[in-house]
Amino acid sequence: MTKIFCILMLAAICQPYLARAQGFVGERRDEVNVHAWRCEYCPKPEPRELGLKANLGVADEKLYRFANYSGLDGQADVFIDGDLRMRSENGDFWDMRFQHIGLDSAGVEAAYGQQGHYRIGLDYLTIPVRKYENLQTPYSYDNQVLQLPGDWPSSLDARDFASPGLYQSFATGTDWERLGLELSLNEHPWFDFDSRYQRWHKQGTREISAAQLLYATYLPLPVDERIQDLSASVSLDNAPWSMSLTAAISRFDNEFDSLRFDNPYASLIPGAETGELSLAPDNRALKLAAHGQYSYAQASFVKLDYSFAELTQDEAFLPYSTNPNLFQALPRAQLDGKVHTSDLALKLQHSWDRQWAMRLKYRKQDRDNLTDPLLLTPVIADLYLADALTTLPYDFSTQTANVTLDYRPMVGHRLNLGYRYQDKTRNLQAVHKSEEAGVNIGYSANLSPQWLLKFSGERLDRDSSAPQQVDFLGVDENPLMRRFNVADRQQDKARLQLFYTPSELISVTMSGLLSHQDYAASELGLTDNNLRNVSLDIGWHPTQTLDISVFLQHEQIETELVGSDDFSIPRWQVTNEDEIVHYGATLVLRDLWDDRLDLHLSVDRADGRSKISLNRDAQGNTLPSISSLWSHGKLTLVYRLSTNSDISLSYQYQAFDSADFAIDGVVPGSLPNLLTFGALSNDYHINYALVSLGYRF
Amino acid sequence: MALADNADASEAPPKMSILELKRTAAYSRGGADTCLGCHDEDSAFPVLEIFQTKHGSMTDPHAPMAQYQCESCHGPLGEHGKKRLRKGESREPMIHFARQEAVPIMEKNAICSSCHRQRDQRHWPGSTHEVNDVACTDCHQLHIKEDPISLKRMQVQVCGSCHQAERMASKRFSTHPLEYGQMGCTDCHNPHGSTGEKLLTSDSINDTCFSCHAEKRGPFAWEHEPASENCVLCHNPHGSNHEAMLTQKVPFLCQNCHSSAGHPSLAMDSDRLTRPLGSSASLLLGRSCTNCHNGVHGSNHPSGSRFQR
Repeated sequence: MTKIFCILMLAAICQPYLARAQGFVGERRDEVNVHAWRCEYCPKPEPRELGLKANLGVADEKLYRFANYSGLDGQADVFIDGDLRMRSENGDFWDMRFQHIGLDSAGVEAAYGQQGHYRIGLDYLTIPVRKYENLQTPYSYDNQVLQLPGDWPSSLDARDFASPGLYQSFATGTDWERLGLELSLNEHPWFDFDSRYQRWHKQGTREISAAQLLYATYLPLPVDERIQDLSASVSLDNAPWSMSLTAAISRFDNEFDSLRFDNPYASLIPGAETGELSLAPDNRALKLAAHGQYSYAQASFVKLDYSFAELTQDEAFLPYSTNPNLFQALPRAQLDGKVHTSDLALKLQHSWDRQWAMRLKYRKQDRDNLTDPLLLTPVIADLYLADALTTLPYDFSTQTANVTLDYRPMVGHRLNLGYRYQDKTRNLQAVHKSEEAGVNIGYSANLSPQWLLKFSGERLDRDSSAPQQVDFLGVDENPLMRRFNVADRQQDKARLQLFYTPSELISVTMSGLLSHQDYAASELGLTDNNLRNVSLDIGWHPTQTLDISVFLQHEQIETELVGSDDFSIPRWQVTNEDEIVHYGATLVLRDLWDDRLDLHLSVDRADGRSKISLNRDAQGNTLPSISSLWSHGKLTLVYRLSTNSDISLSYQYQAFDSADFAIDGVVPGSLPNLLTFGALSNDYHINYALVSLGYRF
Repeated sequence: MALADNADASEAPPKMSILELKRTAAYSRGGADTCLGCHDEDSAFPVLEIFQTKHGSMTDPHAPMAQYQCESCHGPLGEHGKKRLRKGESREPMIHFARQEAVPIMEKNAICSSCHRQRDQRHWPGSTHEVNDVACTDCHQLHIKEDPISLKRMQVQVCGSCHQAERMASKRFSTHPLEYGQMGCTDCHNPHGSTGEKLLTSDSINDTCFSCHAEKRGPFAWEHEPASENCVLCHNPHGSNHEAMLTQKVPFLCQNCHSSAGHPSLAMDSDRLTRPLGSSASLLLGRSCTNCHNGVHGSNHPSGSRFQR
C-alpha cells in the first residue's frame, strides 16, 4: 500500500514535468521523433582544451598606487592567465579559469560536475588594496600597542614633533582574499538545491585617528578580519506553483578587539598617557527566507516573499578608560546586542490581455533593535567623566505600497502610470515619522525600426513630523536642523534615452538624467541636491574587421547646505559643485598583415572638479578647487603565430593628477593640534609595457 | 492577437504574425542537421559556437539541443527551409531574437523563461527589467563560446550600455574593484529580479554591503543613525571622486545633519587655511571631522558616545 502511495505521489509530482513544454511550443510537436535526429553536422566540442598565456610586464617606475586592485606593482611582473575545459560524452565537465597567477591580484575559478545534474564550484580571489606609501609615523607596533620612541618630546603643540628622526616610513593597504565553495543539484527540473560557503580574509594596515580632547593623532591600524558566510537554498518549481526556502548564516571575526596607543601630546592629567580604541566587534547573523509564487494565467501571478534575520553581538566591553584614575565599574560585561529584521513583500500582477496589465506591491520592513539600553558614564579623551548617558538603539519600521498600470496600445509601445506610498517610523534614537507619496510615469516606444525611445519620470513628496530631539549625546542640537533623511522633501527624477540603430553597422545611444531633491522646508542642513547627467555613445562597425566607438559623458552635482554657527537662525550657506567630464574612443582593427594581426587602441580621460563656495553674512568665500584628472591610453597588438599560438605586445599609459587642499601639504608639524602621516598624494604617471605569449593545447 | 502593422481589411487578408505562423508550422525532419545545411561556418551570422556552450549540450536533458534542437527556441521550421522561392517571394522567417524583429519582447523572453525560471531567475516575472521590456538578448549572447556578461570584467561595459551614469561612476577615483574583474555588477545586483530595491541581491542596501563589509553590521553600543539606516546616505557605491566613495567632502557631508552648539556648526571657510595653520584648520584638513570622530559607523566602546573611541 505504501509503495503504491509513493508511486502515485511520484507520478503526481512528475506528471506536470512530463506535460510541461519548454522553449517555443508548436502545436505539431508530437508529429516528430526527436530521437531520430542524429545531429551529424553539429560540431562536437573538443574533449579537452587548455589555454595558457605567459605575461611579462614592465613599468618605467615602481608605483604603489598603480598596484591598487591591479596587482601590477613591480618593475617586472611575471604572471600567467589561462583556462581549461574538459568535456566527456556523458556530460561530465571540468572548467577552470585563472588569471594573474603570480601577482597579488590572482584569481581562480573552477567547476566540476555533470551538466543537467550537479555542479561543484570553487573560486579563489585576491584583491590588493593599495592606498598610500611613504607615510610617516612615530609609532612602532608591538602586541596590539602603538608605542612612541623613547625620546619623544613632551609638548602640547604638534609642531614640536617635526624632527624627521622621530619617524619611520610605512604604507597603508590591505590584501583581501576570498575563498568560495559551491554545490548545486539540478537534476530534476522541478527541484533545485544550491549551497555556498564563502570566506573573506582581510589583512594589512589602514589609517585611523584618535582624539585627545582638542588634539588628534593619526594611527596605523593593523587589520586582520574574517567574514564567513554559509547559505543553502531549496527551490521547487511545479508550474503554476513555485517556492523556495533559504537559510544563511554569517559571522564576522576580528583578530584585534582594540588598539592601545601612546598619547603623543603631553598628558593634561595624570593617567592619560595612553588611550585605547575599540575596533569592529565580532558579530553574527542568521537569516531565513521563503518565497512562493502562483502564476494563474500568462503574465499574471501572485508572489509572496518573507525573510527574518537575527543579528547579534556580544563582544566584551573595554574599560571606560585606560586612565586608572578614572576607573569605574561597567554596568555589564558586554552589550548583548540583538537586532531582528523582517521583510515581507507581496506582489500581484494581473494582465487582462496583451494591452492592459496592473501591478500591486506591498512591502513591510522592520528593524527591531532588542538590545537593552545601557546607562553609561563615558570618559572623554581619558581626561574627564561626562554626564551619564543612556545608549539608544536605533530601529525603524517601513511600509511601502506601489500600484502601476501598464498600457500597450500596439506592439513596441508601452505606457505606464504608477503611484507610490511609503511611511517610515523611526524609534528610540530618533523618534520620527515620515510619509512619502507620489506618482511615476514611463513611456517606451519603437518609433521606427531604427529608433527606440525610453522616458521615465517621478515626483515624490515627503512630509515628516518634527523630530523629537533626543539629546543622548549630551549635546544640544539646533532645533531648526532637519536631517535630510527624515526632512520634508520633494523629489523629482526624469530619464530620457534614445537608441538609434540605422543599420546593423552603427548604433547611437543618447541619454539624459535629471534628479532634484528639494528640502525647502529645512532651515538648516541640506536644502537642495541636483544631479544632471548626459551621455552619448556611438558604435560603428563598418566592416567585419573594423570597430570604432566613441563616448562622452558629463555629470554635474550641486548641493546646498545651510548652517548656523551661533546656534540660532541660518547664518551661512555652502554650495558644493561637482563636475565630471569623461570621454574616450576605441579602435579595433582585425586581420591585418596576412590576416594575422589584430590592433586594439583605447584612450579615455576623466576630468573631475569640485568647487566649494561659502557665503556668510553676504560675504563670499571660496575654498580651493579640488580636482582629479585621470588619463588612460592603451595599445595592444596581437599577432597569431599559428592557429594555436599568438604573441601580444601592449603599451599602456596611465596618469592621475589631483589637487586636494585637505591633504596636499599637510605634513607632520604643519598643524598644532593634528599629528598626521604626512602629505598624501595619489598622483602617478606610469608607462607600462606587457608582452604575452599564448598557446592553446 | 498581434497583427502586422498597417493591415487594411479592404485589401488582402492580414498577414499572420511570426508567432501565429510558428504555432501551427511543421517541425523539420532532421532537426539541427536541416538548419546547419545552410547556417554553416560560412554564414554571415555565425551560429556554430553554441555547440561549445551549455545550450549546445546533447547529453543534458534540459538543454535545447537535447530536445527540439534549434527549433526549441527559434520555433518549427515550417516553410523557412523551402529550397526554391518564387520570384518576389520572401523566405518565411523564424523566431529571431534581435531587438528589431517583430516578435514582441515579452514573447521572446517567455521562450527563455520556459527553462530559466529557477534560482537567480525566479524573480524575473514582474521585475524591473522585465516590465521595462528588456529582452534577454539585450544582455546575453548565446551563439558565441563565451557570453561576455558572464565575465565580471565585462559586466560594467554590457550593463553600462543602458546604465551610462553608473558606468561613468566606475571610472572615478574611489571605486570598487571593477576594472580588473574582481567584482562585477552582479556582486551587488541581480538583473533577473530580486526582493530588494534596485535589484539588489539582498533585501536591503545595508545587507548587500555587509556581505563584504560585515565589520559595519554591529549592532553597536553607540549607533550612528544614518549608518544603521542606509549606507548610501553617505556613500555612492558606484564610485565617487571623494575619499571612501563619499557623496560629498567632509565636513560638509556631516554638516548636512549636524549643527549643534560648538564646532559642528562652524562655517568652514578658507580663512582657516591661512598659513601658518591654526588649530581650527584641523576641522577642514586631513580627515576633517573624522580626525577625532573616527567611529562614524558605530562604536562599541563604553566611552564611545562621540564616536571618538
